[in-house]
Amino acid sequence: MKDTGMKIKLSVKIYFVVLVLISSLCGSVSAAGPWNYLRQLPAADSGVKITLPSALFIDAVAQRYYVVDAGLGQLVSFDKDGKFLAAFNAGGELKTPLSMARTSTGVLWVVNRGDNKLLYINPRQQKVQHYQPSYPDGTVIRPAKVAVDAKNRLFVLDQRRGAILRLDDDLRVVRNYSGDESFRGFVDFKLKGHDIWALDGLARKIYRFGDGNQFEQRIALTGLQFPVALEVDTAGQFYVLDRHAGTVEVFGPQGEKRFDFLGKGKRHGQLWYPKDLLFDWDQRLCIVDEGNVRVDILTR
Amino acid sequence: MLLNKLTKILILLSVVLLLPVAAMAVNCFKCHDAAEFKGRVVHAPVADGDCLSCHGPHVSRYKKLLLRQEKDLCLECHEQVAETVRSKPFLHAPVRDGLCSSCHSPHASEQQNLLKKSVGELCFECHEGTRKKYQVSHPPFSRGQCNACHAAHGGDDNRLLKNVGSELCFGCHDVTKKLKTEHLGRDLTSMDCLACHNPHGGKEKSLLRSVSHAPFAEKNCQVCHGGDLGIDSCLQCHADVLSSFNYAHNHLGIAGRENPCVTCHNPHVGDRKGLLPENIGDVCRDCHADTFAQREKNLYKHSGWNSCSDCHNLHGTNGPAMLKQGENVCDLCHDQHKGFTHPLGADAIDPRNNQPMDCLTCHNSNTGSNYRYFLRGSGERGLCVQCHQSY
Repeated sequence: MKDTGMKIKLSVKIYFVVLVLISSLCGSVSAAGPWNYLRQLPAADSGVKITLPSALFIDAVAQRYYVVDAGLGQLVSFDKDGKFLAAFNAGGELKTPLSMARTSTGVLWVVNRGDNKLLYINPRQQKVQHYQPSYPDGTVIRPAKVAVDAKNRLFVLDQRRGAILRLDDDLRVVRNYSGDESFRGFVDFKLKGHDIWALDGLARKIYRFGDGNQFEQRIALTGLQFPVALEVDTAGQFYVLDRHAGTVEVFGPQGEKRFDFLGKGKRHGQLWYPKDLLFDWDQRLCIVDEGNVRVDILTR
Repeated sequence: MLLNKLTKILILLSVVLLLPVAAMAVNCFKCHDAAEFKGRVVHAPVADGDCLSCHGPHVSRYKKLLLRQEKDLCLECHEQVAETVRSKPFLHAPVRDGLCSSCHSPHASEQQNLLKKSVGELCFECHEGTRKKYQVSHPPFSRGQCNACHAAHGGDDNRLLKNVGSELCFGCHDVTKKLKTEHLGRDLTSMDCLACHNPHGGKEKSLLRSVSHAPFAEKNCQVCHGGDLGIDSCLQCHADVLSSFNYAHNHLGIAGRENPCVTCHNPHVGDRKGLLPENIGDVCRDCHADTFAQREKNLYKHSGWNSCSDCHNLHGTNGPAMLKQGENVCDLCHDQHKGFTHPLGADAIDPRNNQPMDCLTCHNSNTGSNYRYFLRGSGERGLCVQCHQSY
């Protein structure tokens, strides 16, 4: 009798363990479901005008999106539901802005292609300053992208040498991240914790940098037409935006192709000369679609 | 006795079996003038009177009563060409399209390899722009021996060169001490001769390309080579050019740590102003191979598609694809079309993305398409219904 009771208890335990395993497996499967269109920024009927979206900045703490509009020289902010908040042109000082980052203190760094300067904007103090950082040898840096890490440290992609640079508070180069002998120049980078992930578009390679100047990982990609932007998800998969194909190509951590989605076109779910992609605070995929003049937000 | 009988039976059987074949060859020439099938070089099946190895005598799905499509038929026997088609990344357009008879006469010819005309005459028929007179011509070019350097069917290079880099040239030219001295003692085998020398002809014996960079012409190498060869070596004289890259899209960041200018411009000589090659597409192809590959697959292409700078501003613009005049790029040549075309601009909003329509909404003049006028869909219906769903 006692044995039978023990057996029943054991069977029940095994049943629950199996149940938990199956449910967790189902959960992970559903989490990896297909990407679906959620909304676009700005909404089609919002009346908000942008002409050349070049980048997106996501404020994960305040849950806001900032669209960088190179065409009209403005930064346009939206709340978490895509509702238009404000358009800001820094008193007309933004000339073909290409990229922006915001520190935890509310300071904005903007890449201004019109004069190739790095703009420091303090909205509270209504202050805009133009900076021209340079290398120790005096070579002028030509900023293309900018990012700020959790410690408010400034990172800039220099189009002139294709390198990612970490600048100190005086905008001096303290770190220089560059690729191997076949290096053609980075076109995008993302900061993830202590790591920098960078995409060499023409050489079709992804690099990971840690604390040192030297790359710690280098991954070759195949089957891409014209890669322009990179994201890394929480599972370590790479999302590469192919500008000419209009697709998002997904690769495993070793660079093995997993799948691709979207395609070239003008409807929702299609891309026309896309420029940038990144995940928001809820791991929704946001794609800056220059040709269709919108930012598409996709969810699972 | 038995052996004799068996021999007779075998002879009779052979006659019965072979007679129709011989008769068929004879039959063909009853109607088809045999004189047209004669020449210095005769295709082996014709010489054997074996018309039926290529043609069906009664009916066929294919023109000229061929047994199969032209390319399939030819490649069945011509295995070396078949291997080229399978393995080479760049194919001569007629080979890619399976039009063997555009160059070869299938029955007989006065030319080697059954060519319809002499090599030079044949090539210049399509490559008219290449037929030029130079003060000094490269002998194979002046003799019309295009096939001395070019592989007629396919190759590893988009110019269909038989060999890469200097290997092609050193197949005929010796690496002499004089040649090495003229090239400042550099390792000639690692150099790309065609970057500076025009393999067809030039103004002088060296066949240097026609436009020289002033410091090179003056032999004043130190102007550029005196210090670091980075972009600053160019900007010291061409500083004003830098502002032409101050656009959202530009070509400055294409060379990593190296000098981006020399990715496109030859710092010594070129075929045209700006020290660029005559065939500018050759430069663009290095980075935009996908665009060229797509274009080659498509049936309808914009004329002059290899002359990229006609439509693109090669230093930079703000709009996608670095088009001259942005969405109005087509006005450069087709301004009159505005008078009778579909409404464009703010009066015609594309319902798919709420953006104003332009010529490129319907025409893919970049990579071309499989529809007439390189439309993005069938002009009869498929294209229009994308916006006019009740059409």
